[in-house]
Amino acid sequence: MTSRPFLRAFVAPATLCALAFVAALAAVMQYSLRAYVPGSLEPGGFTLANFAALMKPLYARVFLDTVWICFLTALFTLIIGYPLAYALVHARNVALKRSSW
Amino acid sequence: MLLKAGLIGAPVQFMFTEFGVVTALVHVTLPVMVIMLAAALSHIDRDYERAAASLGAGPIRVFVTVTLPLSTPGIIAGVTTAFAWTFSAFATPQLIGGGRVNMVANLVYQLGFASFNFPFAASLSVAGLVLTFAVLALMRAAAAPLEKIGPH
Repeated sequence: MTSRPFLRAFVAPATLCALAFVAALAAVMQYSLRAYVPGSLEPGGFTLANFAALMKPLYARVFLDTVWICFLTALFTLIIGYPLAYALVHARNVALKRSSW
Repeated sequence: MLLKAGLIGAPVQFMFTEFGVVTALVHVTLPVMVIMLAAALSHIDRDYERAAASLGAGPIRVFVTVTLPLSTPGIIAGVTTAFAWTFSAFATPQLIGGGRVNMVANLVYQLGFASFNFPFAASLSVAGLVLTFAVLALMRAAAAPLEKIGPH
C-alpha cells in the first residue's frame, strides 16, 4: 500500500479533519487548566482549581446519573433491538427484506 | 388509550423525567443498535442452526445455545456503541429533560453559556471524556471473557 504514493492524497482530507479535531481538543484542555475571572471572558493564569471543584457531590451525582441513563438506554435498546434485528435477518419475504434493509 | 384500557391509572409523565429521557434516547439509538446486530446475525452460518435443529433441539434451544452465543461480538459492539452514543447526547436531555435531568453535556452547556465560566466547563468536559474512556475500558474488560464464546 505504501508503495503507491497517490494513495496519500486520499488520506489528506481525513488527516486535515483529525488535525482540526486534535487542535480543538487541545484548546479545551488548556482552557480547563486556566483560572476563572468573574465578569470576563478571558481566562486567568494556570491552576488546577477547576479539577478540585469537580470533586463536589453535585457533579459526582450528575456523572453517575449520566452513566446510569447511558446504561439503561443501552440495555433497553438491546432488548428491543435484538428481536428486531433477528426478524430483519430471518425474514423469508424478500420484498420485505429489501424494503427494510 | 392505555388509560381507557385500564392498563395504567394516571397519564405517564414523560416530560422532565428520567424515564422520558431514557425513552427518547432509546428511540434515537435503536437504528444504530439494530444495524449492528443485524450485521452480526447475518454473518452467522445458518447451517449451525439447521444442524442443531436436525439433532433434535427445539427452536428456543437452538436460539439460546447456538444463535445467541454466536452473536455475542455483535451484542458487545452494539452495547458499546449505544453507550458511547448516549454519553454524548445533548439535544435529547436538553429538550425532554428541560433542566431537571442533568447529563454531562447539558451541565457543560449551562456552565459555558449561562454562567460564562468557560474554564470550569472545559474541565468538566475533559472529566467527562476521561469518564467515557474509563467506562468503555471497563466494559471491554468485562466483555473479554464473553468474546471467547463467539465464533472460533
